[in-house]
Formats: sequence, structure tokens, C-alpha cells
Amino acid sequence: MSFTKKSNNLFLSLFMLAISAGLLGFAFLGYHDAQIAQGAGLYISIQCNASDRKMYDILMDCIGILLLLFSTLLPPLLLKKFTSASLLRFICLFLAFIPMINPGSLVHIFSQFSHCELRTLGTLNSLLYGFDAFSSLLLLELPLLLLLLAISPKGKLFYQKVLFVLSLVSCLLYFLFPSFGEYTMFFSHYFILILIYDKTESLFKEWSKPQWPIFSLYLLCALKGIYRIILLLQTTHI
Amino acid sequence: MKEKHNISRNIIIALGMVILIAFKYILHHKCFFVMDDLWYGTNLVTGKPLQSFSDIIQSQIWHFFNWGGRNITHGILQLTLMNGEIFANILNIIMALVLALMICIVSGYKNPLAFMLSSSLIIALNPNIQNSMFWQSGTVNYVYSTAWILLFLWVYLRETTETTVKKLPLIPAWIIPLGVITGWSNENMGPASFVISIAVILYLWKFLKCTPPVWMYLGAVSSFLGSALVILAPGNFVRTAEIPETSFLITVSERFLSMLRAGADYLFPSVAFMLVAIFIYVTILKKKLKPFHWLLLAHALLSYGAMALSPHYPDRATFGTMCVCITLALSLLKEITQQTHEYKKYLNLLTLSVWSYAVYTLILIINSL
Repeated sequence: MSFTKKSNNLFLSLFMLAISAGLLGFAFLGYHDAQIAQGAGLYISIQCNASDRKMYDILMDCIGILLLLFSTLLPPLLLKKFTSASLLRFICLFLAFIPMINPGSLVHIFSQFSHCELRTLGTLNSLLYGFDAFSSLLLLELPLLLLLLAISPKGKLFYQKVLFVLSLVSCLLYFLFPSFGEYTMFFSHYFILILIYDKTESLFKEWSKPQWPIFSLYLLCALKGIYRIILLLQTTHI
Repeated sequence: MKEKHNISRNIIIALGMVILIAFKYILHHKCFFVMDDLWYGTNLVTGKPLQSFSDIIQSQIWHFFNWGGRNITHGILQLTLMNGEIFANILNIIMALVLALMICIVSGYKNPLAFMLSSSLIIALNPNIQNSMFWQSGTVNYVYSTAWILLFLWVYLRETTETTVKKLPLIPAWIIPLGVITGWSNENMGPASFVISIAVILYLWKFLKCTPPVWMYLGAVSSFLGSALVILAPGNFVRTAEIPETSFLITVSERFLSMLRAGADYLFPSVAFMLVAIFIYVTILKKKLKPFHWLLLAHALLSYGAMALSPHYPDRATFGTMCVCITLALSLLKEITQQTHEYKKYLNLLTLSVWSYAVYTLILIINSL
């Protein structure tokens, strides 16, 4: 049985897919509860003069599912690493590292982008918070990436450089435009995470045994993701 | 040319450390004695401000029977409180540097870069910097105690290398008080250290087929005594009696959540960092973990697992476990960087990244006060 090598074992593949589905389902549950508690569907129903919010809650839930599936399935698909084990690994990383976007802010997404104002840098406070997106990468993602770069096969591909630049651009946008905060924070981590994922997956092709350090690391990421969702449910579950 | 490069690198490291220490001092200066500090700043029996060492002894005797078993750390806390803020701030800085130095010594990674990396990691990977490093009660309970716990561990772990190590002078004399204060430090790190001392004795006896020296038994017994004192102090039972009883199911679910929170949230950065280092060492470089590494890993697991018996597992209580994870990661990074020059280059960048985050975090907290 292998957590890292492409599995010929159908049962193990199905098992991993089931865990992936379970994790995504749990993540969606957290989103759904946050969406209901923040009243995103309710807000839209009021804007549309509707008497019942249910349809709009379902609409917001569908948007949430699509965004969640899109952001978790697209990188493994595009990087041609769409196996059950590889998908599960990306989902574990995603749930552990990616900052959450409030469902409530999704309904105001257009107004946020149309009313973009430059961050006022008059105080040390605003300067420090402007660096928040970049500094949050300095703690774990960048050190992990640096360690992976030291050991990964030589030659950095063009798309990997693009991902890194996109992440830095997101950090810069976070610094300049506070109204984009949640989205730029999300993307700054998302692009770096795809880069880390790409590097680790190419390493697993060459080195996969012993598996226990890799398995422990991803288990830890999954537990972190589960804990974050439990925390969200504790505050939002009605 | 290489020498010039080394000199300039050391100057940059020295500058980085000066900046880090400066911000630490500023933050210490801004964090006054608060909460428990104010109570421990008095004779716990009479309620009057501490005047002398005898007040501390009297307080700690009362503390042992009425409040809890952490007499060593709280006794030292009262000593620092009695001497005022400036004395405490300077001593806290010194002890934080000693702790970073102990991490380097135990890990075997003894160079200026490793020292800067360990000093930065203690701040960067810390789930609650203020309560574990800048609140006087927290600093003594966690920073000070982890420094001497690592000293105790070093004394044992160095014996597990297959090469003969130099005998430490007069060790049978000082291992006993060191063992006592190690065991008597806190409820998870103390007993975990005792278990590791026993594990080392068994390893020497069973695997290296040599007779463990007498001082090892003395250290193990003294750390056991210290652990017994910290756990079985009557004061602990007085306090737990005040906690309202809950059903078994609620207790189990609360403990499960607190362990999940500690392991997956508070300790996530340090454990992830450690696991990546293990992955590189074991899976990429195909090296086997040495007994020394396994023992450090066991210590981290034991100190974490022991908290399942505690009704509370606050973020600051993960400090010792975090330091052990950092020690293990650094010892692996030392061997990893010896493989190729490429690793050294990336380690410099990694140190810069972690140092930047540590400084940013300190500035953020200073600005918020």
C-alpha cells in the first residue's frame, strides 16, 4: 500500500477519494454554517424583495460548492497530477494553509472592487498591517518552499516562476488596497501553495519511501484543516 | 575569499541578533508585571510585598500545600519579581539567549547562523509569544525551565552517540539538583524528561552493551522525585477540587478538543517544520534517524501526550514541546546542510525569512501595546 506512489489498488484509491470527499464535505459544512450565520443569502433575498430566503441560501451554497471544488480540483488537473492520492494531498494542504474568505464578503465582491482606495500609510499600524499578507508567508510557506527548492530537481519551470510572481503581486495588492484584503490574502497563499504542491509531487515521483514522514505531515495538515472548520462551526452553527 | 565571506556573514548575523534583542528588550520594557505577577510579587501567606528570600520560602511552602507543585519556577519567579522590572527584563533576555544556545548545543548545530535561526524560531513558531516569553510568570515557567530541561536532556542524549564523549566535570554532584529541578519544572516536560533518562539508560545497557555510569541513575531518580513533587503536590488537589465535575463523556470530548487544538493549531508550525526536516533527512537523503533523534521525538510526543491528563492545555503550555521540535529540526538541518553547498545557501534564506517574521511579530506586538 502506498500513500505516495500511484496506486494500482482500486480499494485504496476509492478510500482516498472517500476521505477527500469527506474533507471537502466538512469544509462545505463550515462554509454553509458561516454563510447562514452571516446572512449572505438573506441579504440577497432582501435585495430581491423576496419573502423567503431559502432559495438564496441554496444559491449561496451552490456558489460556495463551486468555488471550493474549483479551487481544490483545478491545480491537480492542470498540473496533470489528478490521482486519488495526489488530490487528497492537495486538499490537506488547502485546508491547512489557505485563509478563509467570508461568505458574507462574496455578496459585496463587486462593490469592494469598484471602490478600491489606496491604503493610507500615515501610521505605523497601517504599514504593519499592509505587510500582513507577505509576513504570513514568511512563517511557513516560504521556509518550506526554500527547503523544497534546495532538494528539488534543477531547472525552475516558467509556470513555477509565474506562480511565485503572482503570489508576490497578490501581497503587493494587499498592501496597496485594503478593500481587496480577503481575496489578495487568499491568492497570495493559494499560488504559493500550488507551487509547494507541484514541488512536493515531483519529489514523490523520485523519492517515496519511507512514507511515514510524508504521511505524518499530511495527516497533520488534515487535522489542522479539520480543527479550523470545527472552530468555525463552534462560532457559526445555529 | 572564503574567509572574507565568512566574516561578512558573521557581521550580518551579529547585526540581526542585535536587532532581535533590541526589539525583545523594548517589548519586555513595555510589558509590565501583570495578572499572576502581582500576586506572586507578595508573600502568599501574609499578603505583604516580598522583602527577603525567607518570604519566598514561606510562600512556596504554602504554595506546595495549597495551590500547586511548581515551586521551583514560582520560587524563581518571586525572586525576579522581588528585584524589580529592569532586573527581570535583563534576566529574561539572558535566559532567552541561553535557551537558544541550549537548542544549538543539544542539536549539535553550533554556529552563529544556527543560533540566529533558533532565536528566531522560538519567536516565529510560538503560538503565544506574549504569555510564554513576555509575561513574567510565563517567561519563568516556560523559557527558564525549558533551558535547564534541555541541559538535562543534553547530558543524557550525548551519551547515545557511538563515539566516546568527554566526561563532564563533577557530574555526579550537579546532576542531582539538575534532575530535581527538571522533574519539578512542569507537569508534562518534567516527567517526559525522566522517561527519556530511563530510555537512555536502557539503550546503553541493551544496545550499546555498556554499563551506564552511576550519575545516570542519580539523575533519573532525582528527576523522578522532582516529577513526583510537581504532580503529587497537595496544592494540585486543592485546585482540582474547585473545578466543577462533569460527566465522563463531556470530559473526554473536552480533552479531545483541547489535544486537537494543541496539536493541530498551537504546535502546527513547529511540528510541520520538524516533519519537513525529517522528510528530507529520511526520505530524500535516505539516512536513518539516530537514537538521539528518536529520543527527542519521543520527548516531544510524551510532553504533548501527558497533557491529555490535564483539564487545561493553554497555548503557552506547548512552549517546551515546541522547543524540542525545533531542536530536532535543527539537528537534522545540520546534517542536511553538510550534504551539499546548495542546502547552505537556502538555509541562509530560510533563516532570513524566519528572522524577518520574528522581528515583524515583535514590532506588531510592541505597536499594539
